[in-house]
Amino acid sequence: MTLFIDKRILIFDENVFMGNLLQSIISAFGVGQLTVCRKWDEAKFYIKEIKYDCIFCDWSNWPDAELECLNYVRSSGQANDPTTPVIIISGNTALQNVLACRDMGCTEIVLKPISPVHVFDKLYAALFNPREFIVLENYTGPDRRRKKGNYAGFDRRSEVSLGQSDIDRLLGGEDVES
Amino acid sequence: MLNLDELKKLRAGYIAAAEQNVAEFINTNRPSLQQFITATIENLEARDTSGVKIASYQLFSAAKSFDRLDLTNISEMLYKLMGRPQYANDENVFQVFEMAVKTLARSDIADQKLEDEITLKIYEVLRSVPK
Repeated sequence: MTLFIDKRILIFDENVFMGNLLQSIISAFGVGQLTVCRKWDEAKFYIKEIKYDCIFCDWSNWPDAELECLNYVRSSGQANDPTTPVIIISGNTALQNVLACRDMGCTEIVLKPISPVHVFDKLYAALFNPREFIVLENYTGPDRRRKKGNYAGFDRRSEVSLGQSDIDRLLGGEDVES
Repeated sequence: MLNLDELKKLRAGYIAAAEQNVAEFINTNRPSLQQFITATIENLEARDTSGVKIASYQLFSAAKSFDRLDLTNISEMLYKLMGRPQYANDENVFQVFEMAVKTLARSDIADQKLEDEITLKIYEVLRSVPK
């Protein structure tokens, strides 16, 4: 039994050593097709042309740097499949960096130094426990809420309360006194 | 569909295979660690904040795979400090980290005692940096 035999995975890491290290881990999982890119242009070409089941992307830049790969997949309109899970590999553990990744639509984050256990668990979660994919005006990516509420009480949000002016506008009426 | 026990067994097998692959990869790539150490030292000597940031990040990323937790910890501190202006241009910070990386680089294995001594020296310097 092989979990990943029919999966196609892309690794984008400009650092040759780290890219090869990640490749040595993922190849042990019996992945069907594994592509490793060192250059952004090369990665971009593959992301545009081929539908991957998951993309690993290193973020070794700094807080002000753009997560170009993640942006490209989610928001450029150029990627073959904008819903592809994107796993960011990063040592930038500051809260604002993690939130930035999340808000740009990353699926999982694997912190450096990487280990086979973390890579397996995040890859498995991304492929076999996917979260609902959300497309909004200001966000494209997996649902950022991991925990589904287990609230048994009355859901007040299910009923929208309108103010008088909202009701008036909806009914198209005029104020009685005007 | 796998049940939980089957999945756990499969996961253990995959992870063991991956660890074996990593061990082989590390054995054939020992010189890479030295390259990352050298790049960090050269950038520290040149007082090149941006270069130190990049080189120490790469050292941090790789060192743990070589069982060098001492270098991992020191380089993690270094790359994070290089992103903070009050430390990134401080001569004493450059000096203490230059000493730290050079000292740890002389050893082939992680030395917890030496790392603790060096970490104390680093903290002393960091406390003296004007806020």
